[in-house]
Amino acid sequence: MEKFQLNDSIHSVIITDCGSTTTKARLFEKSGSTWKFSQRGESPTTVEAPIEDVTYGVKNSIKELEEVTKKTFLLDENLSWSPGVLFLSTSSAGGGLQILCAGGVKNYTCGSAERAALGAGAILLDALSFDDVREDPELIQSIRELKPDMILLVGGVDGGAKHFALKLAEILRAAAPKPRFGASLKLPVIFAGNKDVYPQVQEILKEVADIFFASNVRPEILTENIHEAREVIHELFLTHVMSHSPGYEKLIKATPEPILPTPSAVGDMVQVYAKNTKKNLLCVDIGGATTDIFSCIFDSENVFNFHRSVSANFGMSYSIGNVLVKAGVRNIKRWLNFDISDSDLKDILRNKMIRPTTIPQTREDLFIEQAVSREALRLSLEHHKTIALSASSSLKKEKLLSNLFSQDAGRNSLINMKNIDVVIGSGGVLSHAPTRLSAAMMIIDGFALEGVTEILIDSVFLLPHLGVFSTVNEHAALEILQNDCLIPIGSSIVPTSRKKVETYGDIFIHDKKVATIHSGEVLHIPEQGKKTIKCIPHNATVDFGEGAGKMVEREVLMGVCGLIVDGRNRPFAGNSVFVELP
Amino acid sequence: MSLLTPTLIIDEYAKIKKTREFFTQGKILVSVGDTVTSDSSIAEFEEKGDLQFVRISEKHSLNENEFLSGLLIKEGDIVSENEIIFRRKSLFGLLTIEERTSIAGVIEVVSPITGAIGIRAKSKIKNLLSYLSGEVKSVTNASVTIESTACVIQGVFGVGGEKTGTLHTLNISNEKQVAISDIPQDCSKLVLVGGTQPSGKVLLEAQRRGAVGFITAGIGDAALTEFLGFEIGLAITGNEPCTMSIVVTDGFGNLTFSKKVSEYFNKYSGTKVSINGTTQVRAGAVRPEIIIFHTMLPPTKSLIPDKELIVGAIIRGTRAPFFGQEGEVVELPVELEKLPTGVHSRVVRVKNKQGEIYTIPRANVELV
Repeated sequence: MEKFQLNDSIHSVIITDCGSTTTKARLFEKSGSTWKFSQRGESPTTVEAPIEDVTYGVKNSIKELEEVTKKTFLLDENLSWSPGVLFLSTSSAGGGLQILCAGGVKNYTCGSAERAALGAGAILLDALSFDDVREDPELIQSIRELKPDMILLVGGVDGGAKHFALKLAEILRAAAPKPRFGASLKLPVIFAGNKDVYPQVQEILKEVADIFFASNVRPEILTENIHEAREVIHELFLTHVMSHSPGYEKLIKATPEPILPTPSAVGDMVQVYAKNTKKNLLCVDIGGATTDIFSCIFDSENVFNFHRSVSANFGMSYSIGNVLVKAGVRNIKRWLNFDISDSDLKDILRNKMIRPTTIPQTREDLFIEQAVSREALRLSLEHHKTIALSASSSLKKEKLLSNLFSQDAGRNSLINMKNIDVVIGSGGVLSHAPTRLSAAMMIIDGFALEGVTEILIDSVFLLPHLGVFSTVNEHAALEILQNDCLIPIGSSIVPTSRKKVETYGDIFIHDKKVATIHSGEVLHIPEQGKKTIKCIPHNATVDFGEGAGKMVEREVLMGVCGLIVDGRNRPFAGNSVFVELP
Repeated sequence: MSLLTPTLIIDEYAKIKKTREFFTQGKILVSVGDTVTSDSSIAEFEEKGDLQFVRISEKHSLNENEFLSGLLIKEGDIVSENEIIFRRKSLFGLLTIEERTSIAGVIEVVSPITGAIGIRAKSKIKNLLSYLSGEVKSVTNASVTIESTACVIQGVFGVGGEKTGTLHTLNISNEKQVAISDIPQDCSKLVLVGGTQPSGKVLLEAQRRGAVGFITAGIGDAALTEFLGFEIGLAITGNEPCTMSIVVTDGFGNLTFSKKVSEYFNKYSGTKVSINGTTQVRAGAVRPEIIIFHTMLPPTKSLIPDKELIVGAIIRGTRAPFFGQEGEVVELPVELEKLPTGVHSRVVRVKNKQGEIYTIPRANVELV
């Protein structure tokens, strides 16, 4: 398809993002030669009865724009547009895709399959490897009970052993898994293993599955290639899960550009921003069904590395039950400053899970959701660290070699919190937090920030919209991002120490001492503008981000909140680590 | 502009139509115009037997040629239980490797690369139940469409798949927490309803006594976990290994049935009911359902107005602090209002039975 070009005849661009919970419309208008963000409109995403048509929520969110601006953008209910109006959209296909990985050896190809699935935004139900301790009947039972949306089958390097993939293909045939919905349909199976066995896999599975092929995730023992498998998963994710969202076909016809998956759109915009600022950047979009993390890190060889992880099992509404299960009640309660029974807490979160469009009305409910968001951030970052490995081939080989003996990916990940310069937060719980300070604290706590870090918030949730806007005008999208979208909240200063200390050090702003950091305390220092800070450690064990005992001097953004100085050390310890700043 | 407010279906005279189908060889047992009950068998279909693999090479460390040299069968052969399908001598004839099939069936796969033999067990004939009580409207080679008028109540969450039985209202108030002593000794084919917050032990005991369904307004997370034996992660259910399905009409916690729903359960106790706990809270949402079959005629005038969030509509709160409370909408302010959380939101002003007026975010109500 020929790419659409934004020309002079277009004066208004309307972009919607169809999230799991909310459909968000944003209006961008041309003023002279400059594009600006003008207005926002929102509506519940309409996938349930009585509406069951995603375009209904789209139209309602745009009608909110019309009400506020007193302009007409929609000509009729069929999503026809007034002259001069361009419509674009993104979609996060709410709810997550459940994948089963099968084939290969656990520490080799099966591990690569897991990374492909997780990186593509799937919920990983199980990974059945050739060397699985479970016997065939147990594996078959597991496959039938799990009811995956699709299966990623792998095994064997190209030209190598064939049985690693074929054995699991035979087990899949025996299990004859059915898709969760659509009993007449065949389950999609993506084969991304030894290409020499394509014909045999096709023969074994043709009666029970629709087979799709991708390049081997492990073409050689020490080479991992999961990009194509991820793309195929993404494609099937949209067509397979979104096919359960009625109205999607109408939405496609309403726009001249493809509907981008939200994580793709956000990732595109984040890369544009990072390449412009040349800083190590972490961006998080915490939504109803997924928490997406994007990292842009310049590694030790000064190579720009972009990674995206979609934790499809950690979100604030549809997946909130999963966060509860994985994090545990104790970890959630450590972020609360009031007592609540375990059963009451669980019931509140379960109710949010089954009624995802509700919002907290009481302060207790709000604190509980913000506590869960901290755990969703923490868990998603752990997941992201397993994805964000160096692109350098020598390091990759070392990492893959070490994987033969250990699956501990965290130690060799690109993500070192001390080296993160900027964090951008997006998603309802952050963008719509009642105070910017509370949003900053969720990020500081959830990501366990260390060293000196600037924190920005996507204030009106524009990142996905600007991502798709950048496909028709990158320059305009970047301008809007910097001028209208990102709000600098402030900067965090988090010293760490391997030994217990009474005080960490002193903080200076423009050579004037403003604070001494005591162990366990969190300070808020309101400041404005861009200022030079100095962090002087009190002893040789204290690290402000550039090494133990070293002074850090840097120009940082104070943002709307100023400085947040955190003396709780890392990792967080104790049953209660929550601090509410006034 | 009409506002989008969730609504769970509660309709005493709902017209429903379901197409029941199968995807293998089978035989339809009914004709157009037939009257069926929810437990009528409307079709027979063949369910393929399990495919079982005997992994000979893996077990005996054989290569491809060694595997092929010991085969006594080929694809398509019919075998009996315990029949020898592989024999090979090794160690200069001193050792004999024999493998037998543990099931009777057909040799479907001989895989030299993996050194395995796949045996397909005999097919079974299964019955397809109607699930609805009503009239057969259309029939194809592999499907039957049935129409019915029934009392349909949608739940908010459930576990377990389709079940059909007799509705049995427990003799307790809606506010009482269900105890084991409240449930009948013999619950065979009953769908129990009544009280609130049954414990895990009560649910397990009801299942043990033969109940096929349990309907409750409120349930605790701990009770559900105890009943299932595991914690639910996502609200995608329906395939749990339980013989009793559960439908929750209101949510998690100490909640009671709405007046209307409670009246229906009392009115129709003793009648046939079908329930399905299948839930999917994501794209393509599915909510659990309760379908009560009755022979009442609908009133001549429709009592069910179109549901829309307007002044005068009856709503129910779906989140604290007004969870489960019903009231009448008295005002729909246009401007955003600040909530106690500090967030601004569109709200609705509601008057309860006591005449008190309170404010709820529009996101936290559902139409009754």
